[in-house]
Amino acid sequence: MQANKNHLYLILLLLLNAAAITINIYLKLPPENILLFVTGGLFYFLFLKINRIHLKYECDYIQSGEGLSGILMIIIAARFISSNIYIILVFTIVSVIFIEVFLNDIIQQNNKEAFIYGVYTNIIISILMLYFIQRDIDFTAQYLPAAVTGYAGVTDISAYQLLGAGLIFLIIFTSLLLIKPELSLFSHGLNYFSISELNFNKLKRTAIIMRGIVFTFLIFTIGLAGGTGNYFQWDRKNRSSQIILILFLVLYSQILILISLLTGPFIAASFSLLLSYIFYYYSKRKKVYLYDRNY
Amino acid sequence: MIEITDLRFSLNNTLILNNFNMTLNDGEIIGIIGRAGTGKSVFLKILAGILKNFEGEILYNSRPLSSFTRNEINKDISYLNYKRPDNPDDTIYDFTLLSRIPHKSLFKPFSEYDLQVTEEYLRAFNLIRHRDKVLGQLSDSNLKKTLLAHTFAREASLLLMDNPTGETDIEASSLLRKNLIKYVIDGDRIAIIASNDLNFIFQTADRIIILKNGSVAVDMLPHNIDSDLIKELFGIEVIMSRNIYNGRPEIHFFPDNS
Repeated sequence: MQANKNHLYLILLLLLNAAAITINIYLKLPPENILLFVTGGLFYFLFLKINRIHLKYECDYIQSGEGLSGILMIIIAARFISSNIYIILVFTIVSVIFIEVFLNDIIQQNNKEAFIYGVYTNIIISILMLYFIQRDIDFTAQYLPAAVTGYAGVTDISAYQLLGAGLIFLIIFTSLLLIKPELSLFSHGLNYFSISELNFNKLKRTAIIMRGIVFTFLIFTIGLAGGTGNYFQWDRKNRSSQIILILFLVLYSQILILISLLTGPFIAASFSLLLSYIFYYYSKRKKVYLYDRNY
Repeated sequence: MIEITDLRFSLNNTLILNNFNMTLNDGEIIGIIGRAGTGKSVFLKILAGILKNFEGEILYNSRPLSSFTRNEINKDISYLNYKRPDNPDDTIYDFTLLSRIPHKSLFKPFSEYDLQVTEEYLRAFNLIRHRDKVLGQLSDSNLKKTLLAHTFAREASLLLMDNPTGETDIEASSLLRKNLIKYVIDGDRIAIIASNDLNFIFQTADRIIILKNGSVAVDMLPHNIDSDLIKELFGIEVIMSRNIYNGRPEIHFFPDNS
């Protein structure tokens, strides 16, 4: 029954994706950008896996404030530091890791705190962006679309660079698979992890760095288009549901791009923020745990 | 076999264990009781390798405990303290299987034996039909049984349990008793239970050790416990009866002893 349901969703998503991609290409979206969104979907899939290992909360990266913070870092690097994509990438990875340590390890100790401080962060960054939109014409034209499509969508990315991103995905994915049981044990905290031969603190630091790298590639390739995918995983252990997640993300990014092409990037980014909060609200209402990470 | 000689342990300049001597034999279930603060939990944590800066000697199978590597301790000693796992999304089966990690090599999958042992203990604690339920959606009783299955599934030769019947229901306590006896006899293992549940200890343990002021005050068979000893050590008047099946003592409070 569940398998049939998954197949039906798979077919429906494929059809919807085909329709959305056709419309976007018709509206002048470069066809190679579709590959970027698939790459972004793969990184989002990794991002969710790493989150499940070591996060204390279930907010997605938009609500936690990390999404807009990361995009702001990309824009700062691109606007004020260098136009070299590798320098922007390294700057963003380092900044994102710093933000993650600051937000996740010091401030956001549970879901409620993650949500509240995420709202503050999003408000502050949105006001900053509005200020730039008013004062800086280049910003609106060149960098704001990066919030919707990711920076990779507004700059020239070669096939080799995309291949490099794919290789990084494969390396991290394989590493996660190789120590899957140890990572599961790690997710239960130090009290349980003490039976493993690995060092808890070293693994925690590695997870933070890996998450920083994956998250940077994620916002580079799909910007704010990934945040809602978390709520469309109804059966995490089923492989077809993971393919559905990636297809859903490609479709979601296509819808955001369509909105961006029709109404402009600011409306599309705001729409993405709004939808993320709506999905979060409904998922919290639906999911009841007798205890969770916030006990 | 565990031989403890002149064990001494201080925490923040407070002496917790002092002049602590004891020998524990294979195949024994040891019940440790005593007033709050007499060092029951500290003693278990020392044996579990959690608290290390103790004085004196602990020989585990004639080898000093301090010479054991972390992996050896993880394989040989299983410690239960009922702390809730942090990830409520794991299933009962997956969480119990994780207890087998010390028995597998890094980068290698779990063996067929690991999977069998996991199933065996899920059956032993009546959890097999709930195996795919996630931890976050379990009742408190089923969560406790899962933690018990996780502790047993290690198949360690030394099982340490700190207050295992605390807030458990009658089914969990009964399954724990039954499985403890089977576990210790089957593998010639040692189980040490520190608890405030005197009736559970009297019905389950082969030997009772009563701690007082951080050292062993009484080391005797459960059958020899009487109400005078309880009054002397715990300061309360109780009525003792005998279980009609095994002759072990059972404690009853006086009706007006509130």
